[in-house]
Amino acid sequence: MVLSQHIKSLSKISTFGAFLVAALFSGLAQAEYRLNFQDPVTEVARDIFGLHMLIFWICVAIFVAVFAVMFYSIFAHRKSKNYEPAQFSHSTSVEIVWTIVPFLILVVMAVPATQVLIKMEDTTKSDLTIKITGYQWKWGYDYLGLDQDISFYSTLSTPRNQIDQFDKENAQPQGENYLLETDNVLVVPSGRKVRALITANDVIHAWWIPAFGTKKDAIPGYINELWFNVDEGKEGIYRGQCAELCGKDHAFMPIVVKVVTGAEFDAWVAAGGSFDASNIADQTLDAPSIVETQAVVIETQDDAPVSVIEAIIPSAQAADQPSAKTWTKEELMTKGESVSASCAACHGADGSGIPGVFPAIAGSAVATGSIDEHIKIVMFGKPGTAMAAFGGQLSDDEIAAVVTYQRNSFGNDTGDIVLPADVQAKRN
Amino acid sequence: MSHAATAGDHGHDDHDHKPPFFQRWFMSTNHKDIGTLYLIFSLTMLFVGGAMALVIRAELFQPGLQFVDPHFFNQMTTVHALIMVFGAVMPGFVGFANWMLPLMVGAPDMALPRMNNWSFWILPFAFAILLGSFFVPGGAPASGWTLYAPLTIQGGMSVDMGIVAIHMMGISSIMGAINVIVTVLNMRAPGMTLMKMPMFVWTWLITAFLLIAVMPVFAGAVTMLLTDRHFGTAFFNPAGGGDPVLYQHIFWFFGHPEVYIMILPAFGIISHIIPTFARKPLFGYSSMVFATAAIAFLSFIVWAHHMFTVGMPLQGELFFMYATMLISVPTGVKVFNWVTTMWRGSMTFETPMLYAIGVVFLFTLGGLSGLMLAITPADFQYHDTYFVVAHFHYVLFAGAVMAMMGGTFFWLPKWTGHMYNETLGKIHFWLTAIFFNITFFPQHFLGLAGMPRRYADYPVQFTEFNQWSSVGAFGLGLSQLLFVYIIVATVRGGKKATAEVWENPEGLEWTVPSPAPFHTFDEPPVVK
Repeated sequence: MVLSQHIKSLSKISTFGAFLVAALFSGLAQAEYRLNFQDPVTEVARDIFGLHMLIFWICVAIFVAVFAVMFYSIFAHRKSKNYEPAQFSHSTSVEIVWTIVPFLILVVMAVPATQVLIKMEDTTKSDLTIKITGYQWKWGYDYLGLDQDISFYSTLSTPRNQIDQFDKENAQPQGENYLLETDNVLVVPSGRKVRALITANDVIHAWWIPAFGTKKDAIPGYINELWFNVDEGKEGIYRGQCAELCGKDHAFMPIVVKVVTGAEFDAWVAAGGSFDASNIADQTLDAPSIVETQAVVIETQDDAPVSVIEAIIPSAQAADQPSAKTWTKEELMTKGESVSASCAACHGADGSGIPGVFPAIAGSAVATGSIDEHIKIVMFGKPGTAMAAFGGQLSDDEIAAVVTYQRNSFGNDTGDIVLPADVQAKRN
Repeated sequence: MSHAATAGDHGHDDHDHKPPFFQRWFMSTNHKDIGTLYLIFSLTMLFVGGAMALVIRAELFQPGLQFVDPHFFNQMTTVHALIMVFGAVMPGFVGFANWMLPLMVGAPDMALPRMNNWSFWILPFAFAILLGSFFVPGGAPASGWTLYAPLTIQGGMSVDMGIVAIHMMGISSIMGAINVIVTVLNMRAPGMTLMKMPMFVWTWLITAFLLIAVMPVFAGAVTMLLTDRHFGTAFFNPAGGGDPVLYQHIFWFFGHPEVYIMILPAFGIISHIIPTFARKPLFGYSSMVFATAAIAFLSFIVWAHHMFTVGMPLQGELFFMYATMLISVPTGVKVFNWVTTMWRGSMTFETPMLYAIGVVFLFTLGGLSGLMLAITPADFQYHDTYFVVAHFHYVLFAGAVMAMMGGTFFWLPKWTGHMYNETLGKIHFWLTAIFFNITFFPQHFLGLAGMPRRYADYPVQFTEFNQWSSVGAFGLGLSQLLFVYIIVATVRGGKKATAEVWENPEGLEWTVPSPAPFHTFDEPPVVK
């Protein structure tokens, strides 16, 4: 309560301060950049912003006061002005004052900081719980306690040729949301308290959405908690990034959260992920404001608008699809190549890996030896290494395809064909 | 060894009798020569680590990957930090300690000269192993200098080489610390009570206790990592029921005192330079001593502020927030004391004084951003962003490294017997200070706007400030070539320095001739 009053008065000062600094820099750069936190869209994020500005201005005041004295002294008390040096070397009263006054300033800072921290750590009375899992290098989301299972993975969707600028011929210019775009997005309702349980599957990651004022480490073996409650009227897309060094592609596992209204979220959940895209299109037409209309449509790589549901459902359902189809080797190879992006993250697009860290697939004992072993490593991973278990992430078809692809690519020439049935046999 | 000792013994009769080149520089037990070796080593490492920083800044000049792949980028950030912390800053201060402590307390040498030799000569081998790890399959360690498990458990054999190198550096540091403590406590000149010791001696004494307390903790943590990697233990490996957060607690129990190990001797150097050029005694000597001790004590109970986001209980977060904020009280006392020392002095602004003022100004800026980082709710936003990178470069480069540069200009005439070129020294200061700020000030904005640290590539809205930072970094790096030129030129010649060098400086080191003879204080001076 007290803090929110501070924030109102401070936000005016801080806007002015930010303007002042921006004015200083405006002549120097054209593109859009920011000097301060992203605009907060939750109460906690606003509290943090207010606290941040309060402490910032206290620090500025201390800094200016101390160095005003020092620079005055530098200006006035110099030998070139024949200033005779005093010889005093201590003053108990002054020293007591400048020990106690800073202490009191700290108390002034600590009180609001404690209030905000207590609020941040209160994860009780939540309306929705989502489990967030960090993987090298993607995020997995599971909605808990709903009638339907909704779970999916979210991977960077920025095209590789925007990232790789080594190859000047094929390099593309970076898009607006370069490194801040994913194939699937987390969908959450506004106006409800969303609690997230955060863990990781391999190494430590950190889940961070600056506009929500939340950052928590995703630690294997631990389940951390955070919560956020996005203001109603702030529906839209919010972006963040992994904030704990997690290996090679640390910079390439962004987080995209789509905030929809409670009604839209309920409609989506009520349909259990099984309702088709037209339902959400109806929702779109009913939506009163432009903001909400924009909120339902997300951009894909080729700029074709698709519904959130389409973006989410295919991979959510992938593992459940029956593998009744009869596959040819060519079909498996084509599908395998498209699935193997996850493999290429470590083992390289040409299967050569990084010696000493990520083994090569090309000519490896796994990819040219026993088919059973190869399938098992893909499905169950290799304990004690970065090799993750993909059995839960990929369908039987996809695993069969990727194993077939690896056994007949990168110079590997086993001629083996692995069928979904071979994979399904290993699932038990 | 025995040969060197014999040569040293013979030398007692003649103050300037020096052993032949190989014996002198490879078998030395003379505190001045070992100090010189340490300083040269530190400067070399500054350039090696700096070159890595320039690789980082070159890659970050634009979004996209232009020069290095992300795996190599991670190797650069990791080894840059390890080199700068353990190769440049720590040995640099040990070099100052070796040169100056015996001269300041009126002792003929360090108390344990052969151990002194050993603690230096471990270092080149330790860093040869660390740098050698670039040439093994998979390249150098790439998990950040904090070596967090379980990422470190994934790494290649370079991690093992890094661990061995850390063990060796730790042994070296502990031996150096033992030497400092024994020298300071046993070999002070008659009349020099503890509360009459120069500030640099006090800060180093306290630093040495910190080193002895925490280097073994770090050695323990990396040894547990090693056994997790190779001997089937699971201290930190969650796959075996281990606890990755335990590693962070142990690491930062070492890591936080470590940052004071790197800054307290800098405080000491500043406390010598400012009174000399203000021509006025240091203000609040005893409060300086107590503040240093208070900082050292508090440094043991604040470690978890590096890991607020790991999910500690509320009570833990509050405790570490309050304890961390408290550190700003003794640190503030020091800054106020320095400013008051200048107040009503009769100041001149030779290069060392420019450095001292620059350090007080920029270190305070870094200290205040540290106070902001202490505020837990806000830290959730600052944590692992470029705001942190900016903060620790303000305290480590503008604090520790610039204090060493100031100290070098301050004592260079004593070491070499020649005055350095004042104009070039001032140019070097201004180039360093300006390029430092161009490099690191924009990183505050990057961090607040949301750019995470240790990123090989970044979203396009962070481009402008990264470009500022990269341009500044190359300027900062190139400016240091001038530093080397000035030092080499001063060693080779220049105006003869007097024993006092400056105007009525305080301290026993100014009572011996410049350059300080090979052996000093064979007869202990008497301090009134």
